[in-house]
Amino acid sequence: MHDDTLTPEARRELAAVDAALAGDRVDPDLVDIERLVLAVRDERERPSGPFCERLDARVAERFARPRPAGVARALGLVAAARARTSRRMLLPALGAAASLLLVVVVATSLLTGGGEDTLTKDEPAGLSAPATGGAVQERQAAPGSADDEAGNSTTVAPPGVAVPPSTGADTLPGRQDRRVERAATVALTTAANRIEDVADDVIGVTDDVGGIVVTSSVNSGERGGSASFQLRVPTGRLDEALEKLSKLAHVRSRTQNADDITGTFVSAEDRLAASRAERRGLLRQLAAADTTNETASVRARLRLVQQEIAAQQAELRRLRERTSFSVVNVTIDSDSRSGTGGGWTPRDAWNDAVRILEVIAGVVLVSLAVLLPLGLLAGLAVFGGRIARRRQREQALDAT
Amino acid sequence: MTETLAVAIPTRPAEQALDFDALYRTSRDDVFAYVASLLRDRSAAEDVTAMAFERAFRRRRTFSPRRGSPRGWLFGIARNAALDELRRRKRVAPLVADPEDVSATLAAEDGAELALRREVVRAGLERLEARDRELIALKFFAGLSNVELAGVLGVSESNAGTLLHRAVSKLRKACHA
Repeated sequence: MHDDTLTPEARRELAAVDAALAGDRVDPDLVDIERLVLAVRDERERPSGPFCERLDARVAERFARPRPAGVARALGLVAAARARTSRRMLLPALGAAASLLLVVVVATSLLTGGGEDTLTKDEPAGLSAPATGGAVQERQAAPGSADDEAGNSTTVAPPGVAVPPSTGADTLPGRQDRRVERAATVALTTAANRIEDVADDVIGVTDDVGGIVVTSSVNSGERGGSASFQLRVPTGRLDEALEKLSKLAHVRSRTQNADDITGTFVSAEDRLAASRAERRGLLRQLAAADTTNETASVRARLRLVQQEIAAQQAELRRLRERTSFSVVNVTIDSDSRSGTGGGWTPRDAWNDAVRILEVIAGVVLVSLAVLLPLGLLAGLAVFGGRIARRRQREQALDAT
Repeated sequence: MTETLAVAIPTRPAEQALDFDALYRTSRDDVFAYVASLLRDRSAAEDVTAMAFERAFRRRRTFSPRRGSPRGWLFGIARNAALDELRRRKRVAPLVADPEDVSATLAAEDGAELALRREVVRAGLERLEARDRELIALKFFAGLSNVELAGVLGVSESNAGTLLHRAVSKLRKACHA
């Protein structure tokens, strides 16, 4: 460690050095310092005349380096361009161009509705499904599937739809004519002022495919609206109905359910057949009855069996209706992006601007999260490099 | 009196831009003398001097008056260039100081007593350590103030004064020995 404190005598001697270098007189007791200064200064090397001329010339031409003709021409063009466009003008222009590009990219992604459409293609997990049998969710039923051939009350599952086996007694492997109950949900979005028109179209589509509107609710207003329908359409024309409904407005989501109730149906048929066989047996017993008591007993038993048969036939009818008609739930909501007139309003512009700023802020944040550590590492590397280079230079001086 | 020392060191306001041509005119010979004292090789000193001025010219926009004087900044560049040259060579070049001319000059103008004194001074300089010799060169050859010395060496001003005083004392002893 150096002692940085100079004694008065040392200060005086250094002042004498400065005075001697400036050509001033020094104190008589320090005249040896003056002589030393003059003697040392006489030892200084002086550059030669030719070297001074060469260096003066290089300075005069601003240390120009000879370059190949092509490079020189290119550099000349660049210099001319830079002369025409100063840096102060160029930087804002580049910044504006980059901002415009970013805005176009973000706005395009927003206005094409990428985010919500992605959601609409997903099948809602909470879709209601009949309790019996296994539920199968499918994105879209293939047009022209086996349902189209089912003109009667029997619905056969499409070949492409995997129907999971039912549990317990409902499991009937190998059976070809599966009984499948189908349901669908369609969520549409449209401009607020088109809610009623689309609602009318939904009813029209229902009529076209021979279905019925079970429930309907339409609520419209200037600032938005909504509508909901529960439809029952023939299962054989379900795909046609869904296709037509999907063309009425923007489809936010569309889901279909297939529920295999073959086991339930077969069980009901078996019970009905058994009851009918029992009735036939009772009729034979009635014909052969000899006594009054025997006849009354058989008649009483016949009445019970007849009630069972009626109940079982009603159950079969319900099951056939569930497979021959499909429930379609349709919802219509106003699209906030479409506003009231379908045009791009100042409100939409404001919302888009906020959204764009959010995206930009996110991009900047993510970029900073990546660049800051890298910048810190780079700064440390540069700092370390400078220290190392400085140390090497000092070592080179010590080695002389 | 040498030409360089006769020229007044220009002082400029802190915010004034670097006048490279003026800096070159007032510092060319001083930079050469300083670099030559470090390298002890006239040919290499010419190359390094030219390199230092070229670097200074290309970096002239990075000069900040708040961080020191233009001469201090220039001698910092020259010092780095000279030390890089020393690193590159990894050897000490012999002093090529054109002794014939010196002897002739001494004989013609100053006589034997002055020639002896110069020989003593030269021998004293040779006996100094490189760092002390550098300090002497920066002070005696280049005429830097203690503030500028501190900037070039990367030390505090008081530390620079202490180091300079020690170097001068060593030189005085070496010359009187």
